[in-house]
Amino acid sequence: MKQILLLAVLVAVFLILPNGARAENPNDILIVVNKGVKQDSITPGELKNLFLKDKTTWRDGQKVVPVHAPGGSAVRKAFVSRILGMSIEDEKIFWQKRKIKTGKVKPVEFGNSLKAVFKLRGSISYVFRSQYREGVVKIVLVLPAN
Amino acid sequence: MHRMSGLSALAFSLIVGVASAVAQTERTPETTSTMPAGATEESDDSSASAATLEELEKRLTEQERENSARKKEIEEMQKRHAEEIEGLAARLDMAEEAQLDSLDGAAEEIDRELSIYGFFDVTLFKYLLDEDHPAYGVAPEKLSFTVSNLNLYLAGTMTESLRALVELRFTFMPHGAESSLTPYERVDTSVLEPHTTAEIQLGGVIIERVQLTWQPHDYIGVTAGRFLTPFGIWNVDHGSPVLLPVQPPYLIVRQYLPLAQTGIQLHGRFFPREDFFVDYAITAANGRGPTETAYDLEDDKALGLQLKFTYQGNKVNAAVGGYGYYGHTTDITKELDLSDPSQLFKMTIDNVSEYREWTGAIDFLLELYGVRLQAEYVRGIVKYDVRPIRVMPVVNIQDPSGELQPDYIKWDGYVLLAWQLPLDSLIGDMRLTPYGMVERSVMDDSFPDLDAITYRVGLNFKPNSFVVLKFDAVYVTFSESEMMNVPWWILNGQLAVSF
Repeated sequence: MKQILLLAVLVAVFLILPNGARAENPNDILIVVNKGVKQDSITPGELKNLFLKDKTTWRDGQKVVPVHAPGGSAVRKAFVSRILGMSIEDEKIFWQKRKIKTGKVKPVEFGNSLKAVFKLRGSISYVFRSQYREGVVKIVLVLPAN
Repeated sequence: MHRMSGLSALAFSLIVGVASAVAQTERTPETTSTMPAGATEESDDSSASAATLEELEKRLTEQERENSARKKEIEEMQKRHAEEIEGLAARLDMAEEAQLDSLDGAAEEIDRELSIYGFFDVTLFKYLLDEDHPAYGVAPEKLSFTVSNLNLYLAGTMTESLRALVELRFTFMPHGAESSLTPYERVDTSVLEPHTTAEIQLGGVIIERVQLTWQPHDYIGVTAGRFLTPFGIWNVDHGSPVLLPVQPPYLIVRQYLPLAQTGIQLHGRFFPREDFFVDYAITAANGRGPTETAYDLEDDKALGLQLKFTYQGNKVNAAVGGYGYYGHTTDITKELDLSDPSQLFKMTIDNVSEYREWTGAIDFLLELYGVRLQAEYVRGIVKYDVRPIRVMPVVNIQDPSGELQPDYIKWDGYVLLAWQLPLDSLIGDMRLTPYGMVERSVMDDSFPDLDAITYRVGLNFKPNSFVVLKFDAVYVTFSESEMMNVPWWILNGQLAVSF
């Protein structure tokens, strides 16, 4: 009886603990913004709109500068799949079509997207938790590793 | 009780396991047997064995020495490559740092560079018409290659909210165009180069778009210049690498709405939800007319209003839109009169044609797990204030009886169904999309000889994001026509490239 009770308590503690108390995975994707951006959080749907340039301003009207990680990087592939719902090839096709239809070109890419977000007003990008440096930018969303 | 038995069984297993392990360690190893003394044959054998063993040991030592040397070589190569890679990475970092320093927080600098890109296509087509067909000779019926589109885009962002877009279409036309059938005349732009005396044919440039857009917010922006009329799906998609079929539908060819306009457009987007947005556009432009790209022959401006609702999910996209258009179109002639001595000259302007039109279009798009269902319908009423003599389209011949053009209703609708086959495991990133399309076109309900039904089936193959190969077959029938009621086929193959 005592053993059953002990087991039940352990399970309950595990379930009740908040996500933040779980072990942080270095492959979590952190959505980061320039510290000048007033918005403190973002939803995946909003994020998709910004990176497809369907929406071009933050909620307060400031212009958004979406910044991609380099094509071919693991974090780019993971972000494009989870947030945009596309493969890398589908993303290329999407932007080929969009350029022809509207004249809009795909978001800029930087090798060091963390540095780019630190520098550029209104910018937003994404990094793996293992690449993140404290105090440089602001985290607005965490996508746990699959 | 059941659980207690389980725990007991577990404990018993553990005890048995530990006991076995203890017993194993106490077991003494078997002793090896010794050779009996004085066995000479066996001594010879063991000498031979020893020699073989020595040989083997020698070879093994040599092999180990060689392996060690190779391992060292590999380590040195890896070290050299690692240093090179590190050097490259450091140079890349420095270049990016320099670029970011120059940007220095100025987000509008990001897109300031002028983007130049475009597309072109090469088509192979064949109209299957025999000499008895009523349409024989109207279209080029011989098997032909053609480059019908070379579109170049210049897109620039000047500030965060200001951008410009120019789209130019280069064409070999008007060379080869049949400007008249009675009498027969064909445009020939051949000239001799003065320096080499080589004969060359001059082509042309069509300004598809030239526009400046100021968009301070998503919900409001202004575009001025020459822009695509914001109606439907086909007209907005616009380019051959984007469109599935090879040839545009009659909805576009017969221009039920003006495909582009010169004027001004107010537009914007609202987001009632993050996966749902509403677009609007209000257009005021020259509308249609023989000179509308340069100047209007009417003070009235053509007005248009667009509304579009779009849902964008993860695997499902859907959109419904509509565009309403009012236009007042005039054509004139001028006559210069020099007979009055009291005046320098007198210009008389006569309207030879004047009409008003009210046209509406609706469109629907559904994309669901690789399936695309697309439909458009357009309907318009044309009422004349000044009626010209009716002109046969395509051949551009005036009605020999002199019949005047009556008011008419025009309408067109098509449905397209396509399926991007789920062949990722077989063809990876390549895309294969079969499609089918049916269209009904009534260009002028007072002249049913030109009512057409077309059926298309085709296949799109995208080996990568830059190239698409298309094959389609089009079956055309003018079912209401007494003269043209003989269907025909058009076969097309196209290579469309975006760069």
